[in-house]
Amino acid sequence: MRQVLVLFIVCVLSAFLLSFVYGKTAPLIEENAKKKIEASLKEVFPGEVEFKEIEPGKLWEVYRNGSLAGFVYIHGERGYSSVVRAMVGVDLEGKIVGMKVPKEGLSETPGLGMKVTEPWFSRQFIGKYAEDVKLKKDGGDLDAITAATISSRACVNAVKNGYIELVKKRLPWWMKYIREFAKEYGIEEVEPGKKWKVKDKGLLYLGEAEGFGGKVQVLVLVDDKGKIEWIHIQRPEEGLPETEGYGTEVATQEYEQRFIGKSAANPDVDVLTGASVTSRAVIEAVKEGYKGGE
Amino acid sequence: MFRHFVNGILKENPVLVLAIGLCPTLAVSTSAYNALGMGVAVIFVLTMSNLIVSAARKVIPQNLRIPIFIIIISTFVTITDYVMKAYLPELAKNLGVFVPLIVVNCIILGRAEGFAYKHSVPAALLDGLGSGIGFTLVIFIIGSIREILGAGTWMSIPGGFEGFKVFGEGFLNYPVLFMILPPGGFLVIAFLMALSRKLTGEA
Repeated sequence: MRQVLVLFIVCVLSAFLLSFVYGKTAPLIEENAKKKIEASLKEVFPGEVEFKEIEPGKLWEVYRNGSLAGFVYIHGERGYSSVVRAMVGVDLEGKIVGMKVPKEGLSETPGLGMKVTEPWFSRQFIGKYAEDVKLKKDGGDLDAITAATISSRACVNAVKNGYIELVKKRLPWWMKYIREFAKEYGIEEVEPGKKWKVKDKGLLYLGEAEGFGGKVQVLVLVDDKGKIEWIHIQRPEEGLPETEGYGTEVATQEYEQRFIGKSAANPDVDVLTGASVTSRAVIEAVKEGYKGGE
Repeated sequence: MFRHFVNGILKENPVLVLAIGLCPTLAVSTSAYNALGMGVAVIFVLTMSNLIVSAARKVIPQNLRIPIFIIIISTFVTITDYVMKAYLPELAKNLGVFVPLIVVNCIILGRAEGFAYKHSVPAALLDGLGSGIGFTLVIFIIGSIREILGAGTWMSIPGGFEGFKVFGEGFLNYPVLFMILPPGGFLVIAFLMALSRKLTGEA
């Protein structure tokens, strides 16, 4: 009986002491953790931006002046003796703004694989397209760490696969096309998520208008005289909210072809029978996006 | 009374003479600052647990002593862990799992069982301090040697002071990497043990 009592008292005292200390330190610990995440977020996405957590500890949206400017994601791949995680900031075109490999939970070989955390290694990724990163050994242009190819490759794959996942989950359908333009010609953002200048080509813009089932979006490239050079109408698999077999008929190359060469300010394109609301929405979207775009 | 204090540092140095508590000694002695942080944590836990165990030795039943020691020790270890995470997050990050692992550090349970349970409070206090300081001195020396040779710096503090560049800038690029890997730890500890044997005239 006495033994039980002693053990009980010891446990109670210990619990009291611990809860007291925990109460004092818990807010500080939490703040430290928050500060650290915020500091790393700022590191991989510098500038006057705000972060919004989408998936705790995995994915953040980055806002500049209130509009979406990019993402920060964390993705891990199996390395040599642990999981190598990369924290990557990408802009909407998929270009890497910043990258770092957090040391927490990383236990690659000290002095070799651990070097993936060093700034010279992560700095190489800046300015590259996240989906194209590759080591020199694999035909790309990134230097691997000497004697730590496995860790370096894990890091590269983490950046790449994390991005592929991000695209699947979060990126708007038109990002794919913006990226193609960016790669081929080089683009400059005029209005985030809305207008881009394509070098030597003209202006690329996103237009939208209310259709039959929701917002219909189009991506249009016009030359400096306002003539449509290229157009892409949102496809059903890209989230076009129109009725299958009727409204979706507008989302074809054939219909897009009719816009080429027309004036973006007032395209005189026929309305499709059976899909009049949707085709009107497309025409409206072309006009709406162009407004003030000269 | 005072010899209890000196004993822990020299004649019964936990690491060099008794060869206990080797796990943290090898694992966190990759830099002088880490080693010092670990040492201070151990001094705190060891002194406090010795103190409490000794003060309560008359009420702790013989056959329940080990679980009660462990509760007392883990209480102080958890306190250390919280405080370190709150005020020295960088250090806590570096020491990682080795802070909670102080619970199973043989030095602490060994001193509680072997000394504090049988001696008065002042003696237990001095013994705890002595053993703790003895441990800290050794781990700090090991940490210093390994950091100086293995990284080329001394007393570098993550997120703060970048350390004394003992061998100049050039050495930083090509340090003796081997020294901060596990074999380096064993090597340094072996040399220190041999040296201490030589100095105490036991070999």
